[in-house]
Amino acid sequence: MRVVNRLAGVLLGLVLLAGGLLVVVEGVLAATGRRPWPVDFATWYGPLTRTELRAPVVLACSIAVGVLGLLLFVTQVRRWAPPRLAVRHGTGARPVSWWVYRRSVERELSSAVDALPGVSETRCRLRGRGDRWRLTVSPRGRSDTGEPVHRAVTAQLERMAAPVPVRVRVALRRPRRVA
Amino acid sequence: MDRLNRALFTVLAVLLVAAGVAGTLASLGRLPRVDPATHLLPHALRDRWHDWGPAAWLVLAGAGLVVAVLGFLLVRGQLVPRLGRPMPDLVLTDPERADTPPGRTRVRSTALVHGFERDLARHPKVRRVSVGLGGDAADPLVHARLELFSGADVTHLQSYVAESLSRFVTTTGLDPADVRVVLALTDRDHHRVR
Repeated sequence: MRVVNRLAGVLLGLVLLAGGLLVVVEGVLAATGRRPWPVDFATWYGPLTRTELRAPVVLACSIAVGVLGLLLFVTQVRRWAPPRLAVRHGTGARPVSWWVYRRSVERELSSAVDALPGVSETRCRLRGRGDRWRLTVSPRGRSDTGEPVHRAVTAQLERMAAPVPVRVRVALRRPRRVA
Repeated sequence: MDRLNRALFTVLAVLLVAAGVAGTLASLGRLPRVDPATHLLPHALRDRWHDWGPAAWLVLAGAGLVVAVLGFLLVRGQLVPRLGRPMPDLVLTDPERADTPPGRTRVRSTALVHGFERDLARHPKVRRVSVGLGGDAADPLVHARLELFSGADVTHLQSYVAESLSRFVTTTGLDPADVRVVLALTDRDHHRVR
């Protein structure tokens, strides 16, 4: 979402820049009594003076703007998954803040769990903030694979220097039937 | 910038919702003191605009200039890297000694970055390194992004990075107070079969 926001920010900035420059050019030309350029007033001025508030197009545009604003509000206000999470600090003499990309942890854990016998199609969902991790592991496997999965995940988290304790939840999914 | 973007788009969303609700209510005739038969650009407003003369256009042009500058600042803000401006070149001056002529040594900051990157990349589990050096010589900032091979032991890697950082400090004389390391634990060297 942060990348989308950045792209939207660039887009909004370009629109403001282009719109602002257009207004500058049009305003100066109109103030000096010259012909409007590059946009002729008649293309937007006429319809605005003829259209009434009760026109269906006004209602439709108002509803569309409101819905767009509501969607934008929901995407901005809801909690976003963190792009990176903190790991345990090393033992070096200098203070170093250590972080790890969340998606890379999820991929590594999924690969490690998939390597276990009788387990496949593992999905990992890592959330949390800073050095508090919450992990949900959802592999396909029989009910007796839960314990090995938990052990494997714990070992992997130790290797990744994950902060302790990590809340790990293993949610097994039913294995696919082989035809 | 991410927080600013979020705040900006939240405000924009609230404005859009307010405009949408007001427009809908006005169009349906539910807004008090607003006649739904009013034109979007009422004649009274048009007449007043003409009364103001060319000055109104100049004020509008000024407002357009402000909007254009804000748009430019917004675009520039999105493109500035997180670390800020890169650190300027390091200039080492010779201590005043009677037996040697005075001199200065300039070390390019890109050389410092490449040297540190090469040292970090010597670790067998490091696939790719990207180091950013910001701030200035008095207060340098180091941000490193390490892409690792699958199965790397992070604790072991942390010890190696600490050693590498000590070598960097000894070689350059810089003493970074803000060192941030971000790890990408990749698994692309594993062939996954689904």
